[in-house]
Amino acid sequence: MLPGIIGVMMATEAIKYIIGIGEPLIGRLILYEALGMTYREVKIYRDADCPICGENPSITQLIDDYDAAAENPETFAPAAG
Amino acid sequence: MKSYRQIVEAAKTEIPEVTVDEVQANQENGGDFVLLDVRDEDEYRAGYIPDAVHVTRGMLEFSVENYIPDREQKVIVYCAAGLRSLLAAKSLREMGYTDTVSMAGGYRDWAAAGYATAQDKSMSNEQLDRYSRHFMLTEVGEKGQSKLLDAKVLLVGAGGLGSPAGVYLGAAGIGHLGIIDSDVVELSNLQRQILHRTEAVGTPKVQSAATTIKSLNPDVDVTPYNLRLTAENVEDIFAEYDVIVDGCDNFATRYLVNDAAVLMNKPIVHGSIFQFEGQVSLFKPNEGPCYRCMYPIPPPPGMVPS
Ligand SMILES: [Zn+2]
Repeated sequence: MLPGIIGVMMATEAIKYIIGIGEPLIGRLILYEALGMTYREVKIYRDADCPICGENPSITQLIDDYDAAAENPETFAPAAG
Repeated sequence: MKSYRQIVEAAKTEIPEVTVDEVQANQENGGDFVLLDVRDEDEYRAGYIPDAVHVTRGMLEFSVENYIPDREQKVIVYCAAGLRSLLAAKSLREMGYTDTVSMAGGYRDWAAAGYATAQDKSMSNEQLDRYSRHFMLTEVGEKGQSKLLDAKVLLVGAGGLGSPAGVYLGAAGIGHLGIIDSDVVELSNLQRQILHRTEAVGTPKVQSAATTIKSLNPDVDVTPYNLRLTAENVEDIFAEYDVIVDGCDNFATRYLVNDAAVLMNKPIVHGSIFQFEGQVSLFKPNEGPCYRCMYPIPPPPGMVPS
């Protein structure tokens, strides 16, 4: 079933990373769709404007309350100051 | 018919020999060569020359290409005393390796000269048996297994994704597995959350997960965290681990995991599912995108990631 497939892929990535073998999924997103049984890979890129890993991050420490922020998505990424 | 002595003498006319002193000097000067150890598993286990590639004499022709794909590469072969290495080097020549030499005196003379040796973490007979299928995979081998046994992995969530991930990580022999979850096992979980058994319904998921993993593989040291990850506890917990496997089921935790991992420079194995679709990636701070690079902020409340 779907969680099994994805969860085992996750374990595989962790093991590859720890041993240092193969091609890690850095910058690659695997998309799996069970009904059509299709499997795709899309490239994903670092965003220079990312609020936490970008060039001028607005988040430099953890925000106080992630639960509250999840209720109000705009508060998740404080404006760059 | 040839005696072994005649075969060795014949090999000596074809294969140049080098002394352990020459090899050591060459290694110290950063010479471009591969050191190939062709001894048996138990000999290798007892100690080897650092950076040597290990392929037993018996498996040489079958798997040497996996380790040394370039046939022009200079290869210095050694065994225990310098005889098997001569024959192995000769066989490599027949396979088209153009620059193979044999180290006279072998590992015996190397160790006697007091040169550097290395030894992998020793495994019990039970471990050698348990992980024997990993050893057949040349990319994993005993070295890879030692890394798994030394690894510290944190599973965030012992639900749909954390269950299969935890079962396989535990079975593979991850030495230290932390598991965070604040939920209790419910009957409706069991159709997919394979870490939990019917008799565990009503008990904390981390406790049920620890029991299952320990019975699967007693080598795994499991640390259960029966709590919810928060901005207050995340740093203390993450500090103990090399890799974070994120199988959480809510956006608050997903963003918290991402932010803490980026700030602490820890890799996240990311996975999520929604209905019949799933996605997987590896977020490595400074080397690739993070979750927020894809989704700077979460979608409106009501959408659930897993
Ligand atoms: Zn980012």
